[in-house]
Amino acid sequence: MTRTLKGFMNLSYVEILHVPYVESKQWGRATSAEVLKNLESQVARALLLQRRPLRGEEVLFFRRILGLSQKQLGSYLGYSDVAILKWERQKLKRLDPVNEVAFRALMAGFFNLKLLGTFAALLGDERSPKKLAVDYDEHAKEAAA
Amino acid sequence: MSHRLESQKILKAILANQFLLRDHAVQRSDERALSRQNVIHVASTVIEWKWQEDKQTHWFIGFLEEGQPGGFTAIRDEVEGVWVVTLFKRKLTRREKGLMK
Repeated sequence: MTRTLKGFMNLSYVEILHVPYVESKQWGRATSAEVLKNLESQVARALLLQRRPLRGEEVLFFRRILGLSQKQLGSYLGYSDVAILKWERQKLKRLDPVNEVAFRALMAGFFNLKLLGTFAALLGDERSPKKLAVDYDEHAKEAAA
Repeated sequence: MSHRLESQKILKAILANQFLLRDHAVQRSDERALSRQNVIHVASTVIEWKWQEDKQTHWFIGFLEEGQPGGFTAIRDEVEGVWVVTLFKRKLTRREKGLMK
């Protein structure tokens, strides 16, 4: 059984198609941790590759899926945990260009993505489409191949 | 099977990323800025466990990445494996603080 997930991990513009799920009478619907792990990775890669502008909610998303504390993330970027907290609180405020570039480069490293190392290539693009649609089936096919 | 043995099997499955996250747990995790990774981290740092007779679930308390206490409740069934029912952040009781020492 599959379904469509909207607003994945508080990112309201993300829509994921064909997500497998399990259902029981007692506990209702559930998604397996392995599927969630793949979804997290797919969405993260799409955010980075499509050069979406990075805001507080994206910072929180990346930190949550990587299981990092604010202190740990801050130390990677040379900031304090309070700075990361401030970014995350301003969910819809875009990061400063320098921070956005540094953050995207750092995350690309976590997800083994080879992005062009120029400032322009790492800076988010305001013109990126509003919706981010991901098809879980495609990932499953790629993984099988 | 004893509840203690059952709880150990639950923790083992969670540490191996082999569990189901109920929709309710996903919703709660979004509200509380928690995630699948937090469940695994809590499972690796469990300091307190109990069987909840009224809710028929296992209750675990451990730590989140920030060092803040957090927990989850889970159940194991023979068909689907481990179901994480809900997850939460909480304050430690005095007795639990004593367990940390």
